[in-house]
Amino acid sequence: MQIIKKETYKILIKQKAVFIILILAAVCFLVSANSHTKGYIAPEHQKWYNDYMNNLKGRLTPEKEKFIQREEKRINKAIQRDEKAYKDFSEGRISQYEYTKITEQTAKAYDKQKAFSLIYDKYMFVKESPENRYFMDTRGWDALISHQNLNFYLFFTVLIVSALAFTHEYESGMSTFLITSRYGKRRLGIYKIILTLILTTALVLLFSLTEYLAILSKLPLVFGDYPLQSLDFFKTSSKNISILDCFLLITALKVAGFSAFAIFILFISILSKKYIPTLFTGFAAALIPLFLFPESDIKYRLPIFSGFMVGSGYFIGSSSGKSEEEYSFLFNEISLSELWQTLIFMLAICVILAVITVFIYQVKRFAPKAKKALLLALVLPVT
Amino acid sequence: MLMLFKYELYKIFSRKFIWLMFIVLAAVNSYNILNYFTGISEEVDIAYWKLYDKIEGEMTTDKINYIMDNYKKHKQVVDTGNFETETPSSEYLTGFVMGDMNLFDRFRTQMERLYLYNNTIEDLKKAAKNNIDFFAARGNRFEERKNRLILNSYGERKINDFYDLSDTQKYIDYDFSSFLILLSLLPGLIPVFAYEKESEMYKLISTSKNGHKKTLIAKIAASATYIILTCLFFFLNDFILFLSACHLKGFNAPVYAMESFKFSVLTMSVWKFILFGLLIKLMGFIIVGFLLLLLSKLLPDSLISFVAGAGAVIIMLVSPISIYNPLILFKNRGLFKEFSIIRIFDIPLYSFSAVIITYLLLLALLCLGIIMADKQKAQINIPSLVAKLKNKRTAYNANY
Repeated sequence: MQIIKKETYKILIKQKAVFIILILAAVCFLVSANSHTKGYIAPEHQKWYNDYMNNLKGRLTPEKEKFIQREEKRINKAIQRDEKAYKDFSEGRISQYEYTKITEQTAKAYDKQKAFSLIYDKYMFVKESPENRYFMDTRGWDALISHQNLNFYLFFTVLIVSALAFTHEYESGMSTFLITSRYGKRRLGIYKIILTLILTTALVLLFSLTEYLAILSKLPLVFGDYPLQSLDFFKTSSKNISILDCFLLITALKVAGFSAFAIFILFISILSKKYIPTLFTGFAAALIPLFLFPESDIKYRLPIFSGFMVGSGYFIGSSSGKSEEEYSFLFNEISLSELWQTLIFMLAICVILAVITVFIYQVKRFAPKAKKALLLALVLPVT
Repeated sequence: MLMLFKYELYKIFSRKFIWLMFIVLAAVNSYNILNYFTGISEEVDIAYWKLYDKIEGEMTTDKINYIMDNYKKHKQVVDTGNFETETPSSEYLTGFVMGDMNLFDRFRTQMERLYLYNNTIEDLKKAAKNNIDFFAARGNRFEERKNRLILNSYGERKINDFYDLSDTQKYIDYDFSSFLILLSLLPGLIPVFAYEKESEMYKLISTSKNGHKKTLIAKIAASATYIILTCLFFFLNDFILFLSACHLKGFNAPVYAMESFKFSVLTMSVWKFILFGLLIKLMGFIIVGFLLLLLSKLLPDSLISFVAGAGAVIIMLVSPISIYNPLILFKNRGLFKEFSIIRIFDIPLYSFSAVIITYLLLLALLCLGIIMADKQKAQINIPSLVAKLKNKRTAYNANY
């Protein structure tokens, strides 16, 4: 216990990682609170939108359907009346006074129309599959989970924290001293790995909470118990889970992914003993799969950490279409059993890497040739 | 001086890690290109490229007639609805009448596009001439100059030759290798200043005879050489793989013969355009590389320098493309696709030349920044800043 305490102190306070974590968390909060533009509703239409949503929330029923049709007719009628009044006025059939009176009455309809068109789109979306698509205000959840982006703030903090664990001592030459100490040989290596895993888990939870709070401060995050398919992004998914479940599962997958990433960095750092190769290998190994397969499901099927660090891809349903650059893509849904297989396979690789890391840390004079072979054996499957 | 440069270059390339990185990244790049072109070569494609070799070049009436006659002949058979779809026959190039019809249709549509292009340009020229007269009469000098520029840019062009440039266009559009070059700049350039700071070698170096200026210039030159060599390596890798994986044709055709560059203001040939694009890319990489050098010069150690550099690269990659983002130089084809100008004191200037001039200035600024940072021995030292603040605080407390 004493060792873990001391190591935590060393990484977080002595090497000032805690400042970097706090700064990046603050930036993450600010950016995710202010960057979502999808589904923006102008403030003057917001009230009507909320009113409609309060009436309609939940499963689509015949009464709600009737309500929507009635409302559509009413708004159209008002607008027609307004147009007719304008025509009459311009042709001199009614006076200015009468015309203003009519437009005052119909002005509300115009305001409502903007909000209603959004509601009507949602109605068309829900009607396609009413049993698992519910009426709800999805903007908050869309901003939180409906994307396949990596959280780069979290990525950099994990990269720094896990690179600090071994590399700092190698660069300062302290590791030679440590190896002569009482616990320095075996326990220290194991404890360092455990500590890195604990820190990584804490960081993932911290950043997920940060994102959640940031979006909660701007948009509503309600009705988490509705089916996942209510969100447009996951509409073709075949998994029977609620939205909140999905968010928690994504966070859990992120914990697994980032832990694997941390262990990979520890392994590289013990081989290279320097900052730049360690950081670069981690950086490149995580990003290349993301940029190599930007729209496809391949990155989620390989037993690598990149897919798990994003997480949301495991819950997207099959789809096909064209990307921004006009290349067609095809996304095949990943079934639950495939997810388990990939996860277990990746974790098994991690355990092996962790064991090798401890082994190399103990036997400091590792033969250089074997080291090279290890590095090659590692780099080839990654690419 | 030359010796210093050689030693600095040796320092970068002596690390085995750099070589390993190049091998792995080149493998990733090759996989990506080859993966992109697999599963395309079917019967129809083989027949297409066989026939293409005959049609390529100047569009004579013989060639046009050959294509049109064959297309009409096969279409008549297909329109009757009574044709063979099971067993291939040697009578047809693809084996089937339907396949042959599609084959000739592919040539026909491309030729039609080229033929119509000349008409479009004639219309454009007429409109520009009318506009010049119109604006000259009203004394709007900017609009007049703009239309004169349009007339000059589009005036002397005509497409007479037929080339299939679709694969060449894919080569121009490919930019995964730019991402890999960006990645490989990080481990090469961050250590240039950071390692010496960590080992405190820079104090020793600055006391030597060639200490300050010469070492610095040698370092900058070596870094620039590293950037250029990295770019050449990946550019060659791209070119060789594309050459082997697909049909790069028509390097002598003008740029505007390509479908998406049809309104480009450039009139040079395709191979010149490719070289020009690569040159701009190279400039972009030198700018990003010098930015990394500056970071490595200013920040205290390699960990922080690397994270700052990697952060800068990520910000560049995820933010939208605009003039403020150096990524515009890597995706420079977007600058040449249409007629786009900016207005400076009533003089219309092509926006691509404005972008290039801006970034050349930025490059000069960065060079100056690195040299200034060395002279001032400027370094952002967080602990000393904190200590200074603490001293002020204690002084403040002591006074009151």
